[in-house]
Amino acid sequence: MILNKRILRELKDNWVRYSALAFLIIISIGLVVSQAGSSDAIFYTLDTNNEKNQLEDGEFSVYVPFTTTQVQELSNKGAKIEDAFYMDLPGIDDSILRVFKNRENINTVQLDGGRLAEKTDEIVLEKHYVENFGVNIGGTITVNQKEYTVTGIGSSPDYINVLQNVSDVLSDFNKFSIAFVTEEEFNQLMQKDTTIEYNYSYKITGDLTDSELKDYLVDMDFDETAVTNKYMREIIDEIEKGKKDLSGGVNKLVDGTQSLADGTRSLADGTGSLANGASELTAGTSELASGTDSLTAGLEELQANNGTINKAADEIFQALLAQANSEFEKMGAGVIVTSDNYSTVINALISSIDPSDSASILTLNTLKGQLDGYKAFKDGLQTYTSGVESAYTGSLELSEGADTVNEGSMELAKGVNILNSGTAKLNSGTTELNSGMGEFQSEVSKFITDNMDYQYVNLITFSEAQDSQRITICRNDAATMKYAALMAGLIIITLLAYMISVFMIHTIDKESTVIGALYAMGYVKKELRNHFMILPMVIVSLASILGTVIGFLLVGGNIEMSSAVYYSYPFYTMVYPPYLLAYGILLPIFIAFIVNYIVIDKKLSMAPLKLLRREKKQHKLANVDLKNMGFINRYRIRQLLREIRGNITMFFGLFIAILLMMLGFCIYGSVDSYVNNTTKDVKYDYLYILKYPPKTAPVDSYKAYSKPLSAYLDLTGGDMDVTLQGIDDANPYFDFSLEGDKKEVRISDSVADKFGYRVGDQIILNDKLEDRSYSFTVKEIVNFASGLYIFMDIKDMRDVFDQEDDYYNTLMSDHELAIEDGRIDTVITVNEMIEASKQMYSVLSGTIFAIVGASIILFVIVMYLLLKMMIDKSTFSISLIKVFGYNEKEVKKLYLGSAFYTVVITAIIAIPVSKMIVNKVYPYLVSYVSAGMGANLSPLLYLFIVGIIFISYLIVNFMAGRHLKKISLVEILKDRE
Amino acid sequence: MFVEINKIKKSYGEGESYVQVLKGLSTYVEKGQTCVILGPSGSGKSTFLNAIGGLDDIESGSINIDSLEITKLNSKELSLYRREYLGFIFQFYNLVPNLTVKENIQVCEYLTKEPLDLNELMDILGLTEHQNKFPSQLSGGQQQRCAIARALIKNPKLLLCDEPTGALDYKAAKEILILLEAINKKYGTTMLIVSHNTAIKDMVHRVIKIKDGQISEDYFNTSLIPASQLEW
Ligand SMILES: Nc1ncnc2c1ncn2[C@@H]1O[C@H](COP(=O)(O)OP(=O)(O)OP(=O)(O)O)[C@@H](O)[C@H]1O
Ligand SMILES: [Mg+2]
Repeated sequence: MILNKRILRELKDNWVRYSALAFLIIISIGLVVSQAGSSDAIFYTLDTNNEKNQLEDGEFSVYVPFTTTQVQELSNKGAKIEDAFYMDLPGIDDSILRVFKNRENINTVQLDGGRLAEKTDEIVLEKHYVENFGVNIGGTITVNQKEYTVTGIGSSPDYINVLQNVSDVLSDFNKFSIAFVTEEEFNQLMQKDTTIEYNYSYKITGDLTDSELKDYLVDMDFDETAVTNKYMREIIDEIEKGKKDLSGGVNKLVDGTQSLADGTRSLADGTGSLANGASELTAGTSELASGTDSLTAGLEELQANNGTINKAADEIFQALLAQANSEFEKMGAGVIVTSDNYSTVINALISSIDPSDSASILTLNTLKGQLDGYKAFKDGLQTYTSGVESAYTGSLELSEGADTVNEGSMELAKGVNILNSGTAKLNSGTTELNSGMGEFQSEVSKFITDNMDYQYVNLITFSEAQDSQRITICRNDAATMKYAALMAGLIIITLLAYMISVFMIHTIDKESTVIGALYAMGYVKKELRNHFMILPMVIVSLASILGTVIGFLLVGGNIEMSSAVYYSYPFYTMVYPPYLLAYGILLPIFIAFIVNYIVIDKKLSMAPLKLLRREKKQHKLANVDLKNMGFINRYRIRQLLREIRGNITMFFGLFIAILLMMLGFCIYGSVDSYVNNTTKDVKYDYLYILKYPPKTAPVDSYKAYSKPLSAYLDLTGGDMDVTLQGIDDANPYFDFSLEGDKKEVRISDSVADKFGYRVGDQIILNDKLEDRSYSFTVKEIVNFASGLYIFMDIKDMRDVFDQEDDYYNTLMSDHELAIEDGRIDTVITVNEMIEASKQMYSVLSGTIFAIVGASIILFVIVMYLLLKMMIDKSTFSISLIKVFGYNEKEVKKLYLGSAFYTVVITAIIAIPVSKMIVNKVYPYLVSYVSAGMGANLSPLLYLFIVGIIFISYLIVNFMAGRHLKKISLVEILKDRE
Repeated sequence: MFVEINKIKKSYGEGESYVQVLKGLSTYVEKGQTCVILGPSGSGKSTFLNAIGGLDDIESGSINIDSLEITKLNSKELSLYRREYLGFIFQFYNLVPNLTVKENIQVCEYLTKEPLDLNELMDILGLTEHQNKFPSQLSGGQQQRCAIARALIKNPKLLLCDEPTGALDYKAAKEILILLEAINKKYGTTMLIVSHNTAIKDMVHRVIKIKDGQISEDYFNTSLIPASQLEW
């Protein structure tokens, strides 16, 4: 189509406009593609490096190195481990070199040049350390007073970010790096050094999870007697001693109860003997009793015979009496004698008998004698029997007496028995006590083995690769930059596409009568639309292709100037991801096509007649009543409203420029305030984190208790490390009170910024090693910029973490403390901290300059192009006004003044709004930085922004002024309206 | 009849600003005729011409061009109608500023399959020596000649001219009129010329005068005076 011939001429006539636009597209796409391309190249480089050099899945450190069996055990479990022991040794200047032995299977060193150390006096150094101190391969370096030849330079996949401590915010190659020596040399160094860290790297080979491995390591047996670290040894010994003391005490207690038991047993024995004595006595009295019984029985028998004897004797007497009586009968005496009256009767008889009758008298006398004799016998017998009787009674009494004695002795025996059983109970009690003591004792030792043994979990640290700042932050940084760039690119491309369409509209407006004429001749919309689409599409296509090419060309430099300066990884490998090619080339074309199609199509949809008549839709705003204004202002505002589309476009363009500028300055501001606040908030000069705190802290130092924990961070969807620090109310370095409940904490503003915590929030802090979580309440937000600190009362903290009443592991001081090196985990001096934080300036200065520079370019070009376009549109009236006799200055006032309004309005709106936007976006950009970095902007920086805006405006004003000057009076003749 | 116009009405605005521009105009033009439309300013001449050109729609009535009822056409069909039938010449030449004379003509050559011979046309219009100049490098008369060439290149059946000489001085205007006359003779192009220049009435076949939206006069010239002899 012949019409298309005008395109080249249009391009030529407006080369400033189109080349400026193309330039903007090229630099925006160039920057975006170089940034995203750098990130992709970094990803690729890291990924291939990680694979090639067998990046660990994680690492852990232990007190006592594993035995071969244990290594095998872990391997069987599904975790391949390799020792990565290290020691921190003095290197060049005041730097520390962390020396490892050559790696074999995990985290192997990627050499940029040279070879691995093969002899004991050879060493491989980390690349940035080498750059920093100007060491070369073949050169020498003194480490720990020994001279080594540098045989290689490289990096290690587990130290991409060469941090001494994982919690460090930044690396500093002046202070710290890593080095590798031969195994032989390392073993020799190990002999000398006490501060060796037994670190292991692992790679999971089976279906073991990291946390299963950790649990397994926690449970794994180890020989605590093999701990070699002097200070750990001290601790173990102390614990062991404690254990021993405890079990010793228990043993003594057990012994005591044993003695008690023995004592009661003796007592029981004594009462036993006593009981026996009483028994014997009872037995004696019992015998006595039984003797008397026998006697009594005898007497009883005798007594029993008494009757018989007495009866027999009585019967004999009666028989005698009966005989006497029969005699008397015979004699006819007629008397009857009885035992009682026989003597009288006989005597009466005798007296009655003639005394001469001697025979009879004799007989009677004999009888009487006989009877008397018998009577005497009988009476004797009676006495005997009654004697027996009495004897019997006597013996009965005796027996009774003996019985009483016996009873008494029996009661005595009973008493003794009670005593005895008491003693027996006592005895069994003490026996029980004794056996209980045994149980107690076994309980105590069980307690000791069960509970006091956890001190001896061999595991000190455990960290998965994905949680390691050393490994992930470079990648995360790159990812953040990539997405930020892609997002920003999208916004700018859309803006530029729209700007192009605005120029197309301008062209169409300018040629509206021509277009109307063409319509009148029979051209159809499609033909004209296609024609007007060509130029923007060609410009965008060429610019985006060029921008993409330049972007890819810049990748190397970009990496070399930013990421690679700071992180330690092999020389990057260039990649050309299809998505980025599509983003850099197709996306701008697509956006430009959509935007221009819509805008141009709409414009060309106007009726031909309207085009012919240059009829323009007057914006309602253009009719606004401005009676009360001075002429100049009224004219300016009318001009502004007449060019409302251009001004709105300018607003958005400047808005984006100001947004970019704001971002650049906020990055600077955040670094600046981080450095300043660090200086301001950290009042101690030395902070010692101790691995093995001495019993007594040096004087003039303040104890604290620091515990690394982690908290969930929404921004990254992962955990971020924080330090919980228990401090004393008397600590002079903190001026806030620590009052409150046990579970109340003060968070630093840094933490508040990072995690978005507020006063009264419940926060959860995780102890990954222990797999425990603690919940605290935020009592107050205090000023502390450095790192991510949360403070609480040390007493409460000891309580919460089950530490002893005097436990501490941190010392703060205003001077260097005399503490043995081996006890120290980290010393942070405020100066170093500030130095390190100042490093951020240099790390970020490139980014800041790029962003601010791009923003100024965008600002100036957008404003100039649109202003020029507006002037072009008003050529006729400008010429007219000149004809009327207005001088240059007044013309400038009238026609550039409206742009001033737009700039002022844009600045008034864009500065606060873009600050708000940056506030929202910034946390994402620094989400992986382990410090709270707010998008802070000091009043001075605000002034800077305003100043840059103003100066940019002046520059544009000057350029546009020159353009205005060129408009000659004859324009009025050429152009007509 | 080639052009048949029947009771066309057209008005602008509403309420107070309502103005009836065309009040039921009817006329016709035959093929190959030249026709001048005269009338005071604001009488509706341009409106009338634009209606025939399908650039403006009318409220009622019909416009029939070569048996094609254009009032019933949609905008796309109107474009094709214009493409096939019309040439337009405006008071202001409306040339594409960054195309040369030749290219400007070619822009419309593109619109037809059977264009006139470009060089011949340029020769006739005296543009050959200017063919590589841009419009800004031409005088008004030269520009208008270029515009005429552009309008004629596709050999339109109907040429609509709205004040073709309005911006030109006497000499230039006369040249244009001579050309129009020559073209009508050579190509038999039907021409409707709106003009303030009453002198033209003697060189055309037909004169239509419009006043207040009505045709006030409508007559055929019995004898034509060549354009070159017109004086005003
Ligand atoms: N788009 C429009 N809106 C409102 N009124 C219009 C419009 N176009 C034309 N008019 C009015 O219609 C009337 C006829 O206008 P037109 O342009 O047809 O006049 P003309 O005869 O061509 O005048 P001139 O000789 O000055 O060109 C005029 O009064 C004009 O004000
Ligand atoms: Mg007119």
